[in-house]
Amino acid sequence: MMTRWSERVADINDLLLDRQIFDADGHPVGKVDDLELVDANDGGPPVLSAILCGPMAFGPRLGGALGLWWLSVARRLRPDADPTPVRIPFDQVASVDRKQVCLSTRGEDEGPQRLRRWTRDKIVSKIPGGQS
Amino acid sequence: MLTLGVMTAIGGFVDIGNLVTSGVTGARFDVSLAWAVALGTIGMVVYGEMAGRVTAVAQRPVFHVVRERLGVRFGLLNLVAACALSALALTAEIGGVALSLELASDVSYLLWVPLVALGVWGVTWRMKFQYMERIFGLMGLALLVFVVALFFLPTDWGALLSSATHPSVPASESYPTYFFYAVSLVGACIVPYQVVFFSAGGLEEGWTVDSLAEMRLNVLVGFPLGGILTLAIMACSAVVLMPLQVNVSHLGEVGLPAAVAFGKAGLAFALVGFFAATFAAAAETALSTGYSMGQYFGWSWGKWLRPTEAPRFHVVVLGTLLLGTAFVLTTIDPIKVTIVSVVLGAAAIPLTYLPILVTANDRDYLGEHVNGWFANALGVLVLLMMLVVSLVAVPLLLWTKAGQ
Amino acid sequence: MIFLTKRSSRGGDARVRAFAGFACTLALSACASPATSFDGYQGKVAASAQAMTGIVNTAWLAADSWQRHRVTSAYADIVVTNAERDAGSVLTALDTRQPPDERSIALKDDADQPLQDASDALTDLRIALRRDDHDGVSHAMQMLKHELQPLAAFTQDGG
Repeated sequence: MMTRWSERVADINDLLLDRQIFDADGHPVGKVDDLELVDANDGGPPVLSAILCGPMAFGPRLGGALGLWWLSVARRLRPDADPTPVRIPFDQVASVDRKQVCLSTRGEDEGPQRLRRWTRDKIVSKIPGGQS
Repeated sequence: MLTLGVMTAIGGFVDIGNLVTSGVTGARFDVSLAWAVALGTIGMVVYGEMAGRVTAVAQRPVFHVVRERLGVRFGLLNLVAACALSALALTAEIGGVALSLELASDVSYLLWVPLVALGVWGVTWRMKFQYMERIFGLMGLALLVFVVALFFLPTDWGALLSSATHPSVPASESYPTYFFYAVSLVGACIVPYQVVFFSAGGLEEGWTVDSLAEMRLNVLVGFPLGGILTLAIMACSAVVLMPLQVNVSHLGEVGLPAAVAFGKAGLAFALVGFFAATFAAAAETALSTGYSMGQYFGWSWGKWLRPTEAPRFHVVVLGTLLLGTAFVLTTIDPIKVTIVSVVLGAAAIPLTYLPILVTANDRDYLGEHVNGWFANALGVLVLLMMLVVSLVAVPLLLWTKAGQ
Repeated sequence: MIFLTKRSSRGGDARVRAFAGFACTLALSACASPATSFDGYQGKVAASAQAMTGIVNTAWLAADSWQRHRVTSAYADIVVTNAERDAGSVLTALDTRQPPDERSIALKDDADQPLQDASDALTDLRIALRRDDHDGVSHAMQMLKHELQPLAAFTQDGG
């Protein structure tokens, strides 16, 4: 099992950010665009609770005017009103190393794959030869 | 299996950029710029091998590495630059295919452009990667006609050799122009999309640690083959066109030496070669934007996946193609676009090469296959050289007004 | 809940700089240096004559290859048509330069004739080529060869 994150002084830049995420079948899910930390109940250091990915996490990560612009575009293009980025709770993470993050779940059209599903259904499958 | 290497040689290495710059420089500078092609080829071999090794061992193609190493913002800048350059190169390549067809058919290239775009899209959309490699790699070998032609033209080998080994600026040309064209040749040999395509292509072919020998063979045969073809076109141009003071500004002039040597048969070979190289390059540049975006954002990507399995990748490829096609249809001169795109490409090279060099030294990724001292020495030398090229590229472009 | 995000306000500056750079590039590439002296103008005339020589030679080579059945009609036509268009550009480029003094005007008057003749011969060549007229092509090729001598005089003057 993985390291207890609450107990580890982790260099997040080195260990997690920008790593490739794969699901349990080895399909690419996305990149670790950002991380969610919550304050520990006992007043200790914050605890890593989830990986954030997708366009809604990428914008704030970029920061600056460009990030704001990215975020506003992403917000307008979203299929629903929910403004939070895609969250992958950390208990769904099976393993982490310097090269990749592997999840214990699978699921083609779950949260992280919204954009993928949209491009597939709205564009690709309407082009001749796209469906087979 | 050498097909990826040959495909990368034809289309990756020899594309509209090499056809134009080698034709132009041969007619203006004899073969006194052969050193620039040699430098470009060495750089390509060194970094092609490194990127191929990172791909085969760690299964991480170029833009994975770029994002992991350069971080999200600098990586994004890199991605935007790479995609913009690929789109510019794609414009030039589509123009090149259409110009080859124009030379064969006497029908204006602008009428060919939509058909060419449709053909390129069909190849990226449906054709299997391996077929793509074989068909265009094989057709592109027709360019060897320029090598053979040198033996049938009144070639003064002694003069060629001395021009190549004792580079000097001809009296009729200025230093800035000479170095501008040197940069353009280096840029034509080392276009950024090549390493992206070569490393992604390695994954498309399913390379693993066991493929290292195959990968190295591809690198050592493919890129030098491209370098030889480039030099041959340059030498043909120097033998036939330089005495006539021709200022090459169209693809038609580049093919003339083949006709002078072998008549219509030679011409046919040259045109088939032009077509294959530019068509393959058009497909590669379009795919490269999909590869780099897919790798940067962590999407599923690749031609081995059906379009529904990698929808974002295919949408990006299609979008780039539409953009490039629209740009050609503005009637902008494809030859000028080519020159500008290879020089800007030369300026952007260090952005791609630095993260490859760093990752190739990372034991977590490559284990025992990390760079040895020789690869590092060469890698650092090439990177320093490319830094110089990249610093002078844009000033030279403006100073010489793109080599006029 | 805290998102680990580095904030930076420098993104805007970078884009402004990039845009300024792009604008400079456009501006610089748009302006052509004007000839302000006779020497400068003479250089422009020499460059035009030089360019025209190359264009004439290209078309001549293509036509000669066509006469000897070494290139297809399509290929010869495209090469010659491009040469004709390039010749037009050379003429226009020289015409749009303002001669700085009397001597320059005289030089322009002298140079105009061979440049214009070469351009006309290219048009004749293209017309004959499209009509598959071998005699016409031979004639136009002779005209082209004939123009090389006067053109060479101007390239030497300027060089």
